[in-house]
Amino acid sequence: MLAADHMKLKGKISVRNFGEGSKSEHTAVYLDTEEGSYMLRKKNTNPFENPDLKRLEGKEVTVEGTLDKYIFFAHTIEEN
Amino acid sequence: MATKIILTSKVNLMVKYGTQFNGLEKLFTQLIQSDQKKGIDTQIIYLDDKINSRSEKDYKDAIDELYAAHTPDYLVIFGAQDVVPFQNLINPLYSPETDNDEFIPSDLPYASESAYSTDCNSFTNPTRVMGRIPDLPGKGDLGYVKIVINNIIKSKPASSKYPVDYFAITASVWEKSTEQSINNIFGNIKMLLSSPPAKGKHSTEQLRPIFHFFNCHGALNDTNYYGQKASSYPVALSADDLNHKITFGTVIAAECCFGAQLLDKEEFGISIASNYLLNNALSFMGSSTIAYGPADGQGLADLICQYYLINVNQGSSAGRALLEARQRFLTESAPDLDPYELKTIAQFYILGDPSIQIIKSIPTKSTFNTIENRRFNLASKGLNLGAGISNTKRVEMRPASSNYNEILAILQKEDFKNQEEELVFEVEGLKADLFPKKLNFMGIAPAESKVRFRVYQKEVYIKAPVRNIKTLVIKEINNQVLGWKTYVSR
Repeated sequence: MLAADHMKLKGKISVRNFGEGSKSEHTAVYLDTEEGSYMLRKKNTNPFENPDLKRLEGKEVTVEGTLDKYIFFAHTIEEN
Repeated sequence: MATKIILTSKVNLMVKYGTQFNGLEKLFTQLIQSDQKKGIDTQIIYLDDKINSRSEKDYKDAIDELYAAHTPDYLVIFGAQDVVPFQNLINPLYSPETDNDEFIPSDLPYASESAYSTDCNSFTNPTRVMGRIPDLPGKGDLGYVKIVINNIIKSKPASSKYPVDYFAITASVWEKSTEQSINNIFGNIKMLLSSPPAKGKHSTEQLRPIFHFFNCHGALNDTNYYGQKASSYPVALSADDLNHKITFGTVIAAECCFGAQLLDKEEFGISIASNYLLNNALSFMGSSTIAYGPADGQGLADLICQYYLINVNQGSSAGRALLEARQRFLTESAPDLDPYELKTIAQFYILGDPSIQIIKSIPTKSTFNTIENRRFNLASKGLNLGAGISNTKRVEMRPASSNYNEILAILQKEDFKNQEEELVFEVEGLKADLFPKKLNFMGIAPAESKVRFRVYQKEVYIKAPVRNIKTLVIKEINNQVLGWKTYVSR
């Protein structure tokens, strides 16, 4: 995978299941924006255990990071 | 003498390596000279005059043309996806809510005589012994390529031995399934580690065996594999765990999601697959995308990975081991592949020189088989497989089943509530001309039959927030239910 462009997105945090029936199934954190929904991850953290992100469930946030396919890699997250 | 063609893009390599490109060409020359001594006539062929628009179709067409012109025993692609792209096939299971892979980056089309297509169904006829020698995506790293190519040059088959030592890790939740895989490959499960409790940072002694096998979680753009027990997902293997600890000649099969992804080192860190090759492994088999398999049985990723290692251990070259694994997987799945089987055949590839023989084959006095005969047989088998496997297409307008009560009973038996999303796939007509008109199984005439797969996925809440997911695939012929499979969540 090659490097992606940096961007800033606004949206609401939700928690849902990912990869049903697969070898990466887990409870994931999503950023739901007006344009679409993206799985949210922080670089260099366990993608399957994300208590810091899960704590933001239901909150409106602004996230700066990079989008790669359906995953938004967050560099910074600010509550609105 | 065996023949090998190595295909790559000079323009892409020159852009990527700049002034180091000459160093790259010297390494290619050394590889050609080394192969000559091993009885392999190798050519480097630049694709650039055949790939004007640099589309994936251009690359597929160019490689098909060169394959036809040379009919080599080994087809090799040199470079990561930014030198020669994977072919992006449409994922038949794509759904924003379930399987998010819109495309499956694949090398399977390069192993097939079929013309360019984005449809997985087009490539259920693999005939070519092929593999990819990757460099690192992103910035050119000549030092990396030097190690990978020098290891290919130094390689020679190891003697087979029994019992076979191995290093294997399973996510704890998939122990039953992995035990069967490991038993099938190695004949015992003595060395299988479960994660948890295994949590990475394995010792050199643990990693010493040359066969490595993983049935763990993996994630996009991530450099670890993960175990699982309930809601705990410990790191089972980190790319950094491999540094200076891998025995020369190691071969790996990883069932994990994204297990064989190649990452831009500067952006994400070096991937496990890339770091294995950097640390003297010779062949890595894994998936580009989300992979599947049952929790307590055998299917999908379990099968293609174990076939690969079994073939390697029996003395096949890495490329032949992959082709034989693909053909065996298709043989077991034929005549109609469910959409999970289609995704599996498309998503697994090997990294490393396909002409490398990891383990010596055991010579026998009673038989002799030339490489020409092996290639002829594999090509014939692949073409026959393709001819006998029908296309499985997703149907957006889902037809109602006339077996409502029977399907309802299966759903109930498998603890489904009949409230789950249903995906329907239809097999585009069995190859009617293959079947005698009179042939009839319990009222079903294959020549006139229509096969349909109904796919359901459900969540089973064991203990919040952990979710277990069960997928049910029901097969109907002419609206008669013939069987079903469950792929339980990983």
